[in-house]
Amino acid sequence: MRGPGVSLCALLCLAVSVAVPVGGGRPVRLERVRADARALTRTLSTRLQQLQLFPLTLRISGLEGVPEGGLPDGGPPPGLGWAAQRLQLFQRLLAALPGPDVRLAQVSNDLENLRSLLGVLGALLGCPAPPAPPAAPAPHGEAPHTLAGVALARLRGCLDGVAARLEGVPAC
Amino acid sequence: IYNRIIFVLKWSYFLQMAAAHCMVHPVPARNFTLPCVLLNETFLSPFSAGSWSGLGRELGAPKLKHFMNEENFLCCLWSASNFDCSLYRASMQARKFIPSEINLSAPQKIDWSWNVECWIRGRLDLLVCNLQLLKLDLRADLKVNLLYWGSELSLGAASTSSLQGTVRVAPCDCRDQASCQCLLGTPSLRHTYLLWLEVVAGDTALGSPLLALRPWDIVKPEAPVKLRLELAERGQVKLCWSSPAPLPFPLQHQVRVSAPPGRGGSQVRHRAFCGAGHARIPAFPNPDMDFNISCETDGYQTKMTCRWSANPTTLLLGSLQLRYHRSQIYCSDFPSPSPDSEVKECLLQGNHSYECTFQPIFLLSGYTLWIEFKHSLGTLQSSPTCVIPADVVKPLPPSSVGAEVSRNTGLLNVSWAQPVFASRDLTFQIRWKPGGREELPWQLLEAPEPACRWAAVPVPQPCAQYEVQVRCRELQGSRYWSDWSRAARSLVQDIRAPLRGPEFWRVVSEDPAGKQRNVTLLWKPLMQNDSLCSVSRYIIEHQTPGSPPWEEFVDHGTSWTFPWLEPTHTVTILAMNSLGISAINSNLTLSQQMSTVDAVQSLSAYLVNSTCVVVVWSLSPQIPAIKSFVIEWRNLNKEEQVKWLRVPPNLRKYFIYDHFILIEKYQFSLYPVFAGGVGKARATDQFAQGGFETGNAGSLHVVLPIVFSTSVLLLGALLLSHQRMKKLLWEDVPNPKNCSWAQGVNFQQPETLEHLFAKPPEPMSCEPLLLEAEMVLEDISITKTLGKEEPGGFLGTDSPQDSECDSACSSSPFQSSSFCRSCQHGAAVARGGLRYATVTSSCPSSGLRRPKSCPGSCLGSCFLGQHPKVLGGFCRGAWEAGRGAVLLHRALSLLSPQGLPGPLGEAERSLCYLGVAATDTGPGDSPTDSPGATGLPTERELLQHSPNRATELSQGGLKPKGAVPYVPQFRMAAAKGQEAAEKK
Repeated sequence: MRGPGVSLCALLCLAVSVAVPVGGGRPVRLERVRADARALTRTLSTRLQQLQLFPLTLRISGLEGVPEGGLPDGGPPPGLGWAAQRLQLFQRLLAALPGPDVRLAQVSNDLENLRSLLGVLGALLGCPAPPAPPAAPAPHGEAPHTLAGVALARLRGCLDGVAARLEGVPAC
Repeated sequence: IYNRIIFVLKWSYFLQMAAAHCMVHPVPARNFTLPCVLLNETFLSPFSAGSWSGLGRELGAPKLKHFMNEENFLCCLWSASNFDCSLYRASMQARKFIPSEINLSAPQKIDWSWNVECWIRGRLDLLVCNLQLLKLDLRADLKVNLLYWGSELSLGAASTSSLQGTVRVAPCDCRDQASCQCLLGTPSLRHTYLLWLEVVAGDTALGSPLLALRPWDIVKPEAPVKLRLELAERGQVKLCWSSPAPLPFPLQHQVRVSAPPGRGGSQVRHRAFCGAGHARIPAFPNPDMDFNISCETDGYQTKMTCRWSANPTTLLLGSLQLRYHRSQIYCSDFPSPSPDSEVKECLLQGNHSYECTFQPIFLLSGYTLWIEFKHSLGTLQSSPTCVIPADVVKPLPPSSVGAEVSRNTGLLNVSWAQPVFASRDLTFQIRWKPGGREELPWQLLEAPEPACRWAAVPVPQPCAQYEVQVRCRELQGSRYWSDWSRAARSLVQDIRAPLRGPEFWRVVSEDPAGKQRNVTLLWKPLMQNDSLCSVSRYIIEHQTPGSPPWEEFVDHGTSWTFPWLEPTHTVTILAMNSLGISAINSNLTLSQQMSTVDAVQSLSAYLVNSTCVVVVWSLSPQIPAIKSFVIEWRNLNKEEQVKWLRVPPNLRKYFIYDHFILIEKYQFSLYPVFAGGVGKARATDQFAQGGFETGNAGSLHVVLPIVFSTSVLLLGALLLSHQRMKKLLWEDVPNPKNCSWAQGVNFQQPETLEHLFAKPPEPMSCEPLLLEAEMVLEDISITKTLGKEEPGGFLGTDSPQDSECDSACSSSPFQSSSFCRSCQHGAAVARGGLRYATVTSSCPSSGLRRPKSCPGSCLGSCFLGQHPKVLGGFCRGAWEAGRGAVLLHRALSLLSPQGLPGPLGEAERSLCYLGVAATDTGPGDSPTDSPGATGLPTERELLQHSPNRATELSQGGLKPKGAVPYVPQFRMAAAKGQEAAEKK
């Protein structure tokens, strides 16, 4: 299922294995981008899994600002725009956490790469630019680790949705 | 001024004389040392001796005359280290200038010497001479003039008359007491100049010798201008400059590059020969800016390590650092350094290699890396390279590696799990080896399918333990192999149920007191190929008529004893392991009735050697079907368990391989095993003497009459051929007129003998090479192969008169019966102590093969004999000479032209003769001079000497030893060719 923003050119490009110049003019094929996005999604999910996060079912009060990672109920499944927006939100949230942590920094880098890949993928598909994400919640000064744990756990749920989107022809 | 002009004119002539007769010193390239001597009238006499050291003391003497007023000149003889000078006056005769006539030797003291440096300025408009006085205590009123005189001709080519012109004076500016500068304007590059110095200090005048100068040689170009340095690609520096003014000749440029202070002082100098004008040299290759930057991302994909090595020289020349720029995603096709790059700290690892670590990393960003070289001349950059960390991942090793030898197939099944963080497709490699064997190399195997997580490895020993490791790498990307996984060890387990039960035998023992017979079953452990991999127990099934079968189990050992109570008792032994019971099993019926059946008629044991005994037996006729034989043997001198083996029923002999002690006594027993039970055994406890038959007796009975009858026929044929050969050959050899092959052959010539003894060219493909005649032989032998015969035979003729003889000779490819006849002759000749030789016939069928005729002949004619040595020797000789050759050993006396006296008479004369010389005659003696042989043995005598070893020869494994050389006697083709040539 394709989003409304998919242009005729994007469809044509899909048919001929479209390629767009990225990073200095090298044409990138759609399949390569999609494969890399899927691989990075799996890598990031594995990374989060090894962090031994909170279970997704754990409900912690006071963290309502942390975005939910799961897919929204009802309606069509969200596309690349939703995924990129949600990832950016998580990235901002992680960046706002206090203290240097190499693991969180790596997750943040992966998120940035994944967002870039989704952006390239959206460009290949002719998708419109995703809207700017809402402002990240202010860091919970009293329980930063809990906030990080909840955020990463929900991020993992989000990645599952992204991975599902990337299995087929992704929608905008 | 007037006086000066007059002086110059006077000197013009004077210079002509001086230049023609005095040694003129050529000015070397710019810099030289010039002596100046005191021009003292007292001293100036060429006939007064003096020394240079005295000159110094007379400085400042009151009686000095001015140099300019004298017609004097200093002539010097120059050498590399010193010079000898004398003074010339215009009044002297020219001949007095000859240096040999000047007895004025000067010491080496040159206190008044000047260092002189002259050059033509780069614009070619001025000759500059700089003077530097080596001694600085001169007076303040020192005046120096440079006098010169120019000519278009070189000094070597100038004649006295050509030295014309005006002597000019160039004043010198002495700025201080130590140095002066003389300028000579507008020198002509085509002229040769004579110049000298005049030095006046107060009343003291000093003069220098004549100097010769060519301005062309001492041009000092102006320094290059507009020198600039440019940084080129790949770490090279380009130097460019311009010449200040064009010159009418090419210039050679020299470039000097020095390292900055504190960097070891390394210098690189380059010279280029460029044309005049703008000149350029290529960029110099140092520092080496070729860097190979390799990066590797760890299996957790959180860290990327980049390594690069630097040239030690480059490290001396400047500083190096890694710079990088990260793109948002991926790399560009043409990575280039970016201005917003960053420096990455790298650690020196030794051996001039550096290691830089990026952590955390952007897995899919493009890292453009390059090395920056900082030098005093500027900054250089290496070629940038772009790396995506996700493309250079070295995966973690596979996990959960397991190894197991599969049941039924015996393959080593290896399984593993994909490592974590392996998000791309991987390929796997397996290595295995028997466990605990460190010395054995690993065996490598590529996993057949990249997507598979297991592989089946065929292993040579499925019942062994194996150690297995697995590694992986990405199908795409950098293809770094991961480390090997931890080793997994397979367990030895049963692969399948035993294929068959063990072979077993029984030993019956009777208890005389209890009148009970006990049967002990003996079996051999199963081979591993039959058990795969183990046998946990043996099951003994008993069955007797009228009783239900029962079983006994033996977990350990390979024997079992039970009482034999019933007349008939059938026993079956099964093998069992964890996977089941053997399907194919042997059984044995113990029957009292069948134990009386005497089926084995004879049994003989032949001791071959200490490890082999041949047991041969024969059966009685009219016996029931035999399932198998069982051979028992035991050492009667020792109390040891009986040994046994099972033999197929179609065999009548068997080779037992064991360790037999020759002095011990052994008993061999042969049991026929019938379906109804074990028959009566036949035993022997001593080794039979003599040979044994390899075939069965029945076939020998058939073969012997055939061989005998064939021998008779062949003997008859031999006799007939003897007669024909004697007619055709024996008499004709002495008389060439009666034998075509001998016509035209001059036996007095050595060449004839050579031809006769030469090897026939066409058909002789068999070995061995022609050998020298042996001086003493014991045998006379004729051997003929059954192979293809030479078509031409020995002789050829076109004479009808000689046809009989020729046909006899041409039939010389002898038949088998003939060789025994010759053996007979040989025996007689041997007793005569004569010399023997051999005639070799052609053997078209080459190749090493068994001479069939020999055993057949020996079998027919020698087998019945009583003296095996004679014919045995012959047979050995024939065998060794082998390969289908025909060997004839004959006494030289057989060549006698008078015929063959002796028992054979005319029959012997038809044979092709063979011998060439008697023992008491020299090798070069004519055959016609040989004494006749007498007392040739008869066939019977020969047969009596034939060995009883025909069967040995018929066995491939019993190859006779020892070689009997032979000599071919005739080369018929050569004789035939010679005959034809003579006819032409």
